This record gives sequence, structure tokens and C-alpha cells, in this order.
Amino acid sequence: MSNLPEYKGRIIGRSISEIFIRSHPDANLVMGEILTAGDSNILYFLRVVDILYGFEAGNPSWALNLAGAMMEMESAERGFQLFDKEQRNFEVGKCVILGFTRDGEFKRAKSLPPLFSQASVPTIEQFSFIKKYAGDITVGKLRSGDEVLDFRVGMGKNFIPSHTGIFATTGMGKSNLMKCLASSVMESDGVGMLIFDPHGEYIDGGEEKKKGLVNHPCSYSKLTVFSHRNLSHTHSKLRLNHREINIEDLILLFDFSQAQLEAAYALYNRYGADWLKQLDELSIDEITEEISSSKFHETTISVLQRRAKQIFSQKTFHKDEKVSVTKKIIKELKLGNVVLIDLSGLSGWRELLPAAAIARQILDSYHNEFRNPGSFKTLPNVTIVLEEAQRVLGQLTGTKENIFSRICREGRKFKVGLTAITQQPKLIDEEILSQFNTLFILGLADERDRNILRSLARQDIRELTREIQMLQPGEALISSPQTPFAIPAIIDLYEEYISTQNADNIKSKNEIPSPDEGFF
Amino acid sequence: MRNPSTGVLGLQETAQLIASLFHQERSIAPQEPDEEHNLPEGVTINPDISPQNLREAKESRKFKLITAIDGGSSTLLKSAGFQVGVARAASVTYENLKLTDSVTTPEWIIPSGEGIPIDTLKRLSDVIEIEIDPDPVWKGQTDKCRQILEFALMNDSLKQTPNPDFILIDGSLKPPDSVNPDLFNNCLRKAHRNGIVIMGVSKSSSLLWSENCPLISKFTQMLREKNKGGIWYLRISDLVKGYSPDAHLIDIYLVNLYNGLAPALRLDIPSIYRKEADQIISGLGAVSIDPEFPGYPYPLAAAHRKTRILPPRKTQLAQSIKDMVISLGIDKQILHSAFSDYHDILNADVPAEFLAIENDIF
Repeated sequence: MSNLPEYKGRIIGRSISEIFIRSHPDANLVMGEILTAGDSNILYFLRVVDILYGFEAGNPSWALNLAGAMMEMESAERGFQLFDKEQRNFEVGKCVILGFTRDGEFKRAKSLPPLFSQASVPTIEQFSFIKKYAGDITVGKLRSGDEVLDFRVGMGKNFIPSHTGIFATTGMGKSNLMKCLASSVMESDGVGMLIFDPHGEYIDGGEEKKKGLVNHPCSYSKLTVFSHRNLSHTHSKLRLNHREINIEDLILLFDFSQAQLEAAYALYNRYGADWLKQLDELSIDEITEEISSSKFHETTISVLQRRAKQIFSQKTFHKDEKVSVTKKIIKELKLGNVVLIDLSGLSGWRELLPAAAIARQILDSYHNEFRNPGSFKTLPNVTIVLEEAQRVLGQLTGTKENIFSRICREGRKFKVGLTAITQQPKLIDEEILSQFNTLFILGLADERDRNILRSLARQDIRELTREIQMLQPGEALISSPQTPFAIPAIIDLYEEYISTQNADNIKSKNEIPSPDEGFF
Repeated sequence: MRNPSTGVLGLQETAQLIASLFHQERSIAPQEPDEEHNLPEGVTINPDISPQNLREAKESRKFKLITAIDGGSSTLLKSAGFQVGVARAASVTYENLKLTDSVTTPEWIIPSGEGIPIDTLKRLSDVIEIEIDPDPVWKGQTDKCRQILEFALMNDSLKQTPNPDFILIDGSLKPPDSVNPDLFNNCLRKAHRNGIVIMGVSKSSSLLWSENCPLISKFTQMLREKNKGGIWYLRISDLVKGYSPDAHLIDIYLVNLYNGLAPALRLDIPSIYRKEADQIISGLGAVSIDPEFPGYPYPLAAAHRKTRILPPRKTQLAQSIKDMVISLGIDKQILHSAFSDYHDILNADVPAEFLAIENDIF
């Protein structure tokens, strides 16, 4: 992008909610590109949300008739030549007003740019107001249409507890974005991030030519890895003990009848935190005897016991209460580090149970700290990254409330946020979805997924559904309370990004002015 | 009426009559140079027109620079014995099929009426620096001004650098009323000296095949019988005895620049180019392939669109004049009584675009 405004067209109508631009004969409009109109005092920023064919002819059938004539002339010997093509047919861009700048301050627009104003590509200087809203956890660069601008964009640390959604169809760059987000967290201070990695793709990239978080220059000091399996990289074994598993965690993963639930609570009342260990070790008769006041059927106890045995058949779960890595995980998070828990190779409840147990303990820990305002204030915000989030955040009714939905509802107060990654936001409970304040929207093929997001984003992204549909892999829209509009971005390619990183430029990258929180 | 009836009477008879016109034999006397048929000096229409004389223009020669000139005029206000018109003209230049230059004259407001001293032509003469004969006839002043403006642009186009290969004029190639024919003829001679071919292209022609059958229809009929594509032409004029081909004498052709897709046109070309007619017409055909105007030279279509005066503009100009008259102390109602027409009220329910058809948009 040059420093001279590139002339794109002129405003031809029509209201404050939709501005139409006739394109300049030498210009092509691009979906999503940002244009300016107005003068140096008030500079309006417009976003192209649709592109239409335009022609001057008053006859609405002009193009229809002409196409017919062209085909007829093609079949004749001499063909045809459409003279003055650029003047006679052109592009009409439908835009929305993003806002305007006056004296460098960006504000929402309550007035119209003058009719026939020139619409131009903003200069670097005109775009500089974006820096203020770029966020301190950056993941890529500002994009205008296909043009990449040299401004880093992302999200603000302060919005970590307000929950983050990463929505994209397969192949659109969710994992890459997540690695960039984690790498930015590693490069900054004051944010902890816990990633549950069900596919083993975040550690070392998971495949040839891909890089993982262990390849980041800061990983030595800022990344801690836990895994249930042996890895070639430095890691600790993922171990949890029986006292860390709650009935709430199991409700998330297993279907319980009312009688089974009541039996589980009766066991908890009888044995406290050791209920699961006792369930595994005692005989059916002994258990029935111990909780005889409730008169549970043997079959009910038998089902519960079978599940307990399944849990302890996993190496991750121990009955020795001294064996646990949760404290270490929480400690790392409170130091503002990234914790990666490799759960690859596990599926279903085997993957989700450790995640639920750990997530719950993090929330509890922060909840406890909350009672002590002095120490709570010094705690970094923490986010728990959950892949395929729709599995645990789907339509929630009654007893299906779980730790992840609880974090969504209560976590913000305690500095604990959720970063939910999903291909299908439509499957997430709407009320839960509405808790996500920062959205990273990558290409979404399903219209129902796009529609559900329209109602969520803080900025009005109703007009952006076409743009979302057209996003290329790596292109994203970032909607966040801190940004005045959904920011178009091109996400760094993680492998390229870390190849350019060293201690010096990481430091300079972090020197970003903090966002003006009070603005909106 | 003793037998009142609804419906349409005479449809069948009229249709039969019209059909019969196209079967009439050539029955017309040679048409001499005259005003009615826009026949220039020294030209007569050949009475012997037959399909054997049809020629296909095949000799392709590339013409790089083409200028086209057209004018627009219209009546703005009209009352008994007095009217106000508007005229303007435009020229466009295409180089290798790309628009490179465009000039539009100011809009000239032309009042005229019996006994009203008219100085528009004089003012026009001063501005365009072309000598114009005083014209005592008030009727048709607006059209005369339009023709003069077109002529002025033609004159200017001869000074263009580099010279255009073609200058296309909308209409027949003859001196405008009120302009000394010598001035016009000198332009044609100068054009020839500079290698510029000036041509007149008429969208309609009043020339006749028989007493009631348009010649252009007969030409189309001949082409249909040939049933071939391509560019066809027929020279229908001869020079009057005693004249020989010259730059200021005109040959008249009927041409079809995109046979099968386009109506025929009348083409006026200086007779000095008679031997090159094939190349010139085929060159003209090369710029007549726009799908919106197949068979019509696109530069002329572009000039037309630059100069036409559409109803909204007419309304605007008329209102401006009325406002100024009122500001000079004339009562609005009195002014309205002079220029209003009760048709406006009777037709108030009809969309303006339908009424525009009745208006003269050149």
C-alpha cells in the first residue's frame, strides 16, 4: 500500500446504514476492504460488504438485452466489441460506515459522508488509529480486502476472562490461529493459558514441516507440557488422583439415571472426596451396606462401580492422593505461562474427564483467591482452551450444566475465561455463546453457523456474512469489545512467524499502546 | 353517430395497404437536390436502383482516429407565437477504439417568435467565430442553432492534432441553414487535403423507392433476399450532369453495417472518395460492432448520449427561465397561462418516461 490514497470511486447514495459507491474505471472493489471518504477534518471509514454490477442505462433489462446481442453477434462472423466498457458497466460497492476519525479519534458515525465524495484506500497514516485497538495479544496483521497492512492486530489481555470463540470450518486455520495466540501469550506477561490438545498438534505441529509451541523461542521459560504418553520433547506425565474427580465432572461425560446420580451423591456424602476410590475398591455388598439408609438397588451401584473401574484403568488417574499435577498446572498459569496438556490418543470421556477436573480446580483456585483482593489483583488472567467445544457446551438443560458452562457464566469475575474452538458454533448453547466477547471468525461454510454469529458479535456484523463466507484460509474477522468494528486480519503463518522471532523483536512487538478501554 | 361502437376500425385494411407498399415497382422520378430530402448540391438520386448494384464491403483498412459529432435540441417553452428552445452539440474522439477526447458545447437557450428580434445567431456567430447569415425566419431557430454548433465542432475537429481519419456527422452532409455553403464546402476540401474523410450518417431517410415506399425499406428487402451477413452498401446517387467527383460533392449510399442485426443507414461521403467507398464503409463497419448498437457507428452513439437533452434537464431549464421571468415582476399565474397546456393536467397520471416519447429528443 502506498502513501498516496488510491482512488476507488465516488459515493452515490444512499443511507447511513448502507453507502453505495460507483467504482472508478481503473479500480476493482474487493469484499471486506476498508475505504475512506470525506476530508481531512472528518474522515469516514467504510467497509465494502457487497459488490454489485452497475450500469448507467435506465433500462433495467439493459444487461439482459446486451448479453443476448453479444451471443447473437458471436454467432455471426464479426463478433463484437463493447466500447467504453469501463464507463458503461462498472462495479457498485455496498458499504457500511464503520465510523469516522476527527483529530485522530475514532468515533461511531451519526452522520453521512457527502454525496459524491471520493472513496479511497486509506493511507498508512489514516489507518494509524487502529493501533489503539489492536490488542496486546496479537495474532496477525490488519487486512483490508486482499491488502495486508503493517499493523499487528489481535485481542486485549483484559478481555481474556470475557471468553473467546474461535470459529472456523476445517482447513481455515483454527490450529494455526491457536498456535499464534499461544505464542503471543508466551511473548507477553500477565496471561496464563491452558490448552487441552486432543490431536497432539500444538506440541510439535503434529506433522512434518509443521512447527509446534515447543519450537517457539520462549517455550523454554514459558511453556509447560503434560502428557499421558511418552513424548520426545520435555514434558511431565499427566496424573490426577481420585480426589480430583467430582460427580459434576462425571455428569458431563456419562449418562446417569436419577437413581445412579442419587447413589453417587450418597457415596459422596458417606466418603467425601474419597467416594470414587471407595466405589472402586469396595464390593457391591459393602457399598450397599454403607449407604443402606438410601436403599439403592445393587444394579445401580454396579453401574457406578463399573465406571469407577473404567476410570482407574486409565494411567492418568491414580488412587494415591499425593499423585497430581494440577497444583503445578495452576502454579504455571498463575505465573502467566502457557500449559499444554496433550490428550492425543484419548477419546470421549477419557479425554474430557482430565480436562473437566483440571478446569474445575483452576476455577476453584481463582475463586478462593478472589476472597483475598490483594493477592487476587496480582493474578494474571487465565484462559482455558477447549477444542471441539460444542461437545461440552451444547444445548444445556438441568443437570447437564458442567464446569465449562460454569466457567462461561461465572469465570469472568474470577479472571478465568474459556477459549472455545469449534467448527459448528450453531451447536453451542445460545446463552453460552452470548458469553463470548471476543470472536475470531475464520471462514465458515455453513450458513447456519454464520447466522448464529451475526447476533453475537458486539459490532454489527450482520452485513459481514458474505465476507465470512468468502474468507480464505488464514483470513479472519476479529470482533471484540475493545475494537470499534470487526477487524479484518490475516493471521500469521505460525511456522513463518516463529522463524523470524528472536528475543529482540519479541520485546519490540510487545510495546503496543494499551487500548482505550473506556472508549465504548 | 348513428351506430356508436367500441373497438378499432380499419386495422385489416391498413395492414393490407402497408404490405402492398413494399411490392410497389420503382415509380419515382429522379430526385433532384432539394431541401425536403436533404440532397446536397450536384446530387441526384439514381432512378435505376437494383439488387445487382449491391456491394459487399470487404476491403479492410484500419482507421485509427475517429471523431463523431452530434447535436441535441429541444423545445423548452411554447406558447402561441413564441417559443424557447435549447441546443447543444458534442464531439467525441476515439483512438484505437478508446475514448481519448470529448467536447460538449454550452447549452444555448434560443427564444424565437414572429416579429421578435432574434440575436441568438449573432451571439452564436461571435462565440464560435463563424460567419452566420442573418435569418429572418423564426421557425426552426433551435434546430438551426444545433446545426451551427455541430458545424462549429466539425470545423474545430479539422484542427485536431493528429488529424482524425474519419469525422462522422449525425445526419446528411450538407451546409447548415444560415451558414454560407462555401464555408461548409471549404471545410470538406480542407478535410480532404488533410486526409480526413467527413461522413454524414443518417438514422432515417425520407428518400423514396416509390410514391409511398421508403427507399431504405427496399434496400433492406434486397438484403434480406440475399440473406447474408457482412457489410453491404448501395450507392444511390449520381452526380448531376456536368459535375465530377470532388471533395465538396457528395455521394449518397445506403449501408447496412451489420446485416441481419441492424437497420440500414444513409451514408453521405464526398464523391472524391467514390473509389475508396469499399474501404471506408468497411472501416466504418469496424466501429459498428457494439452489442448495444449493432450496425451503428459507436462513436456517434456516444456523441448522441453526450448531447441529448432528456426530459429532467428540459424541466430544469424551463423552470429556471420561468423563475427568472417571475423575478422580473411577471405574475406566476400570468406566466403559467402563457406556457401551460391542459394536456399536462390531462396526462398527469402518465409516468414522465412515457410522455418523453412525444418529445423531440435529438
